Amino acid sequence: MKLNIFNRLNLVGIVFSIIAGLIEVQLVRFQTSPTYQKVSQWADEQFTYEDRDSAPQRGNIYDRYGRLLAGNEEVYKIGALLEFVQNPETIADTLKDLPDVKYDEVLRAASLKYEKGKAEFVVLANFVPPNIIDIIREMKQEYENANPNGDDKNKPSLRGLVWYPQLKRSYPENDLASNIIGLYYFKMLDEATGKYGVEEYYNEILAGSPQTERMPKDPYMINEVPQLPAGGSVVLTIDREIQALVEGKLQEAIKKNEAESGTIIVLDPRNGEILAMASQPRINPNIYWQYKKELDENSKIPYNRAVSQSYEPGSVFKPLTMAAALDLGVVKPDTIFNDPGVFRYGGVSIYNWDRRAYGQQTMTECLQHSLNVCLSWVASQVGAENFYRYLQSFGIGRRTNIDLGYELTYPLYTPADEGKWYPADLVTNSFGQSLSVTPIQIATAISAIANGGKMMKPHVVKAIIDNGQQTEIAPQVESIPIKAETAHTLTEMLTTSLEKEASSALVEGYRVAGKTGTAQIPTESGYSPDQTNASFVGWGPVDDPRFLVYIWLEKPKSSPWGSVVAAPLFSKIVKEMVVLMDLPPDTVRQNLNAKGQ
Amino acid sequence: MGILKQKNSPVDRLKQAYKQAPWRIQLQSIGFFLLPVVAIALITVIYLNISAQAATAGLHVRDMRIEEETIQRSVANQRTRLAWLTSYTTMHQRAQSLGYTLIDPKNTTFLVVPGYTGRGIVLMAPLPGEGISKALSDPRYQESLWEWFSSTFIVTGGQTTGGVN
Repeated sequence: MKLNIFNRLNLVGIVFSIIAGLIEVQLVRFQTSPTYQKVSQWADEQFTYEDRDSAPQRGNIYDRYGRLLAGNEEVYKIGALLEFVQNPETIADTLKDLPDVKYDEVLRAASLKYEKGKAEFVVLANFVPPNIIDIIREMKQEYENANPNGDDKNKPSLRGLVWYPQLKRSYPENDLASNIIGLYYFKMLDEATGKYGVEEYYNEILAGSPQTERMPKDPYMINEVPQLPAGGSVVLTIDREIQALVEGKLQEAIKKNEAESGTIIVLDPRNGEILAMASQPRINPNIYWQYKKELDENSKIPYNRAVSQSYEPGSVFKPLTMAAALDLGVVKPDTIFNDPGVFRYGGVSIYNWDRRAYGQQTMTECLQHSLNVCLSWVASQVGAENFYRYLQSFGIGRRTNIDLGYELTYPLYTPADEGKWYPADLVTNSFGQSLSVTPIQIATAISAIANGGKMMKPHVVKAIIDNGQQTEIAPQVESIPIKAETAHTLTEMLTTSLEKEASSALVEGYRVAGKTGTAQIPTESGYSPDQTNASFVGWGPVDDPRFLVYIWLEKPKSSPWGSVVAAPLFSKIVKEMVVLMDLPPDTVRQNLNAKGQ
Repeated sequence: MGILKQKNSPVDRLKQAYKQAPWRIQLQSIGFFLLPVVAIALITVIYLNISAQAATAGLHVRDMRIEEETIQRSVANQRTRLAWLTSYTTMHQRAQSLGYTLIDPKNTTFLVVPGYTGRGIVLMAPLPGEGISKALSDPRYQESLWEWFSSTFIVTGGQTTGGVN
């Protein structure tokens, strides 16, 4: 009997041992078999982690004093969980008044039959503001109270209607500085991208790095939660107040002078910072889809004329010619030129703007009266090789590489370009004809004169905020086309010429230098007889330049002359801008500086 | 017979005197069996408790992550709403309605404010290296216990005794 019990226990033990052994063998097999490893990996992927494609929050754009120009606001995506929809008519009726929503489309979508894995969720509306969601939430609750679970098909029910928060690009200043900021095609959802201006040029920084997040489903592994850093933000050099001032004045001037369009650039010549840049037309990027004509790439309307449209600048170009001559020592401010009223060179005859002969003129007077004949003579004295070397040094014929999208440039033809350059071009180029520049090119070139001969690279971004740190963009010297002495001499000449002329560009209390420009417009059949480009470039205070203002009005009808339409606009802008810049009148500033020292 | 034997053998009598009662032996056996069982149960309970806490913490982390996203969205939204409320157009209209006008430079009085260098660029975030070094440069985070002790007690005592040049 004892033996039997022993045998039975042994038998049970052996059986359990065999089972345990088999389990161990199977475990080893699972661990080593490639097939089971694949299965295990698949199971891990399917049930341990959840992969989510996440785009980081798009970075903000601020003006130089931290005022938000482009940010993100919360909106909602509304959809239907088809499995729970009880009354599609109620859903369609509730959403029909939302923008871009049609009753029939919503009804059709919400009526779709639920199929697991195929038809589970449909999007019914997007970019719905939170206040609308509050109303829908209340309605849904009321219907639910009156008709629990939507059981009664004859009563309204919003069961199955759901909404998810998301961020939408928002521009609180509407169209202010929109030609600089650019826009973000937020309606394209996953395909959305920045277009034009800062939004395009700094798109990679603003967008951050979209990532696939692996979210562990196993709570023990939650310590592996990935962090998705937001996109970087940028601080612009733009001053919102100056930008608004300039845009307002430009709009007024275009209207008053019946001009076709216009551009104004305000920059700090000391560091190349763009303080304001206005051009017409502008769009409101919050409703960009309403500007089909402006955004149509075939319409040939530049998004930002300041960088994307070239034109023959006319007399505002003359300071560059004079700068080359002064720097080479070919002329001095008091060098006399006897103006006979015509200058023949390279087979062409050059006349003054009023076809008058001015007689004996100093170089300062040549600039004061904007004499084409005199400047042509100056260019001939400088010589083609030197003249174009200086122009290239001033950046004419190449991009300024300003940090904005779609910067245009027009080639500068020199004697080396056979078949494209003719000797007559030397003299016509001297007063800004037969060549083409963008407003930013000419403003940058002239800023070298204002800044003691140093030409700074123009830029609109002052700092980048990324990974919780603010990195400032250091100003860069683009080139030093002329000596500091030349720059000071020319500045004084241009100041004197404005003062002697009693120009309408003068600003009481502030010494400013400047030059008007009236350029004929080339057409297929020669220069237009009645249309001009009126411009003015000026800077101040001349003893310590803080601003340079460049104005260009296209085809003004009230008067063709830059001195009549553009010069007074400069004065109006500067008069108000100095207040915004905390810039006291010259005498006050000099007294304060003396006291401060 | 057995009683006689006990009486007869002193060893047996000694054994008899110190022999555990059967119920004690049984209790001892149960004790030896239960000891590892209780130990294992205890370890299991601790393990389960810690595991449950870890799982709860994990879920809490996940909830906080969702909350963090919600807060980030809310911050972005509030910042943008504030920008709408203080936009140039709104502020300009508000200033005009309150009777403010742009001042003429001729009517402005300018003063020298010692140390004021004018409006500088806005700092929205620390400059590179600044954020960390500031925290580290706080002396409270740098001094050792000994330094704290000596600066609080010994140095004071040293000063009273004249200190060292």
